[in-house]
Amino acid sequence: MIADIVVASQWFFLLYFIGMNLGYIMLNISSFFTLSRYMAEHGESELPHSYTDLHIPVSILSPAYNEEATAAASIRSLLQLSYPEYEIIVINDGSKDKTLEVLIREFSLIPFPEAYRVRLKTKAIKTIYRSLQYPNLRVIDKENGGKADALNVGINAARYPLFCCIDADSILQRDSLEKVVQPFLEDPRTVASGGTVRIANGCEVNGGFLVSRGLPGNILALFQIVEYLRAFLFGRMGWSPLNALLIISGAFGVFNKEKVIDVGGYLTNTIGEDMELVVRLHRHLIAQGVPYRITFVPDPICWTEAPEDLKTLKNQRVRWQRGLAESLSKNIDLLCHRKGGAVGWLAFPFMMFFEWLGPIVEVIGYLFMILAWLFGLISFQAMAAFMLVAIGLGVLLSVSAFLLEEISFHIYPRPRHIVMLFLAAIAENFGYRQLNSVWRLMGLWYWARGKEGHWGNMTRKASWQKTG
Amino acid sequence: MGFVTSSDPIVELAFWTGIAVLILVILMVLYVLFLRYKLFREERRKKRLVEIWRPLLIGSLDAIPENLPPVGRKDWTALFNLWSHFHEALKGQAKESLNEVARRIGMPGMALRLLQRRNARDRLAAIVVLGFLRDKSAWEDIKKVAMEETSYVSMAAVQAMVRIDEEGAVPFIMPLIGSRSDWPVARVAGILLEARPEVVCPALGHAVLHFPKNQVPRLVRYLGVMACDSSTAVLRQVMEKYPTEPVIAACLQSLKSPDALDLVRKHLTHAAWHVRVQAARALGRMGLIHDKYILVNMLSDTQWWVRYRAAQALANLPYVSMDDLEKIKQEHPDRYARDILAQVIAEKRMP
Repeated sequence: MIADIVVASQWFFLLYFIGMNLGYIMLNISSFFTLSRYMAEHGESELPHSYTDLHIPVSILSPAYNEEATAAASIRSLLQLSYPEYEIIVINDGSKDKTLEVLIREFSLIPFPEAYRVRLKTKAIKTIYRSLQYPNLRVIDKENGGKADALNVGINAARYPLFCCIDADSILQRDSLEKVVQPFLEDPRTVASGGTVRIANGCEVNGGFLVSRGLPGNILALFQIVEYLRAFLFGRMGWSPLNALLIISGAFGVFNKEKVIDVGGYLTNTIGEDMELVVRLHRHLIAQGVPYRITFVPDPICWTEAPEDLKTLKNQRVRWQRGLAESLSKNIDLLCHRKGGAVGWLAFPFMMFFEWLGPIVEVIGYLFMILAWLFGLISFQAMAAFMLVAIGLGVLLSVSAFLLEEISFHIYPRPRHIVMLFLAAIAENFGYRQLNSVWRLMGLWYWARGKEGHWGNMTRKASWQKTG
Repeated sequence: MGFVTSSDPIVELAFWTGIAVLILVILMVLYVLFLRYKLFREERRKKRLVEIWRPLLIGSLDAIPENLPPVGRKDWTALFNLWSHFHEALKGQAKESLNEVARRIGMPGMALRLLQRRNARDRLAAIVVLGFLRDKSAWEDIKKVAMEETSYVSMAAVQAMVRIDEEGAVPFIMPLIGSRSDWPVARVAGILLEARPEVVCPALGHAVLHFPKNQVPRLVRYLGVMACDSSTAVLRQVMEKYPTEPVIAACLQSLKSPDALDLVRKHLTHAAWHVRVQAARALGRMGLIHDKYILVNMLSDTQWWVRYRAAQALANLPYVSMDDLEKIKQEHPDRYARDILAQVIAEKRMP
């Protein structure tokens, strides 16, 4: 009896790991073709081009909570974007540090009597400021209500048809906005588009812009570079051509404002408001039968600081997993919806089985195989072969993301970078990924217990920033 | 090799899967290294090309050198892009000097050859060069490309056609501009702006009046961008022919001449708020002092954007001073009107 259970479990875990990785490999293949086509189509960016009055103006929303170290540099980079018409709205979500004071001093802000329009319900606004130096910069000081609430305030204050959400600690490239808005120009059905986020640790930032690219000395940050390559270059790129993209990073994404208001804006009682909004947009637009596109732009256009210590990283991953669980559970109607298409029948189930519930199977799978071997229920060969598959497939996925990077943007210029990344792609499979699974399992546990969410307390070093 | 001989099917499956994965990893790493080596060589070649050709192209603005170096087979696309950047940045006679250099090294023939390739980057670079060269021998080839399905290639071809012969290009591209909804409006407007208004405006006016109704709002916007003299008359006809909300809003957005004030005033109380917004904006561009009272009433509109545009229009009216605006604000019975005026007054006072 026990032997039968052990054999069945062995098959289950092995097939689960193979199935999950085969899914990712399929995404990888889809990304390969999509990325190759994208690189060919957008090769014209090497050629000169001009702007006209008919570009769609954009409101950039930058929520800030205790960002005194990085907010000014981030806003300076936003002020230098190459885009014909945009405004920047910084929403200070009741910061406890000197974020507001820094902004007032750095950008000569004065209180402004704005006829603020409430289209989405939010916490109270304290003061709206405008910059004397930059006419397109406003800062809204509000009571603390969380990131989603801050973004909803920004949407209320936004004047333009598209809004771009960006984290206050992110660094953009000068042409970021132009690139991420491109899908809206190319296809009027577009309701949202997201860009690729990369890790800024190890790079050098000056005057709000990235001036040199490099790799961090910190091993955790290095592993996260490999993770981000995987997540963006095939995790998102693979789903995008199927119009089945379920995540647009809160660090950098552009949305059609009216469509977002129609679905009620950002949900304030969830921790993963960025993903939840995208899943909800899919659900509503599918239910309404409205033709739409949610697109991913692969260009590396937004840079962010990755946590370099285990505690902060753990908090981030626990939060992400809770966000994922909340986003999917709140929009479960999308699962195999009659008109769901690729998103309802492929992306949602995939996300549910391999990302949402994945940590449970992964952690139990590893534990089961090790314990079963220790108790003599399976042979060493069986345990080793299982580990070979699980870890080998992990390495394969990391290396294939690395290959996608190499056929497209080759961000990291030196041969030393390739060697380092390759070693990191192997090493992260021995402990780091398993640790992540444990953290994600904790995230699931907190989600199941219904623990209240809040802004993540990220310890920012901003060591890569220099004042301009 | 105990795994291989194991009779347990799970272990065998796992083992061989693992081996296949390891082989794939090794192959991928080798491919990455090959790609990096290729990239390194390409970049070195490109750098060398720029080092040679940048000073030559700059020098050619004074005098074209007698002996120009031969261009390597793989260097043409990079040279095309470098040359195009120079062309874009320069004006007048300087462009002619660049064209002369291009002719001497055989760029037109090579561009025609690259146009036949499958590689999109090569084709795009070739199309741009042929456009800048105003090479009429390429006309028919480019015309074919303009009708291709891929939007970025077809648009580049249309732009090249306008550069080569705007009078010949405009009648050909106008139906495409109307029907190709995949072409970004901003990009098309940029292309049209490269041609003289006297060439584009009559064709655009005709298109607006005779093309299918669903294409009209799009075409009307180009009419606005081109600032055509004939716009008011054409837009008047369009608004009579197609009195739908999108068309009226687009027309109001494009009206610029005071001759059209009657049209604007007529739509200030339109049932659709986005039409009222455009009417208020138009009044801001061309309104007269008599329009003051209509705008003051619009400050109480139910829609924020209508109130905002009406307040802005009011502030832009001739003979309306800041004191007048303050007085209107104080005397207005509606709180929303007072709030929006306070905002616009503060905006006006901003440096």
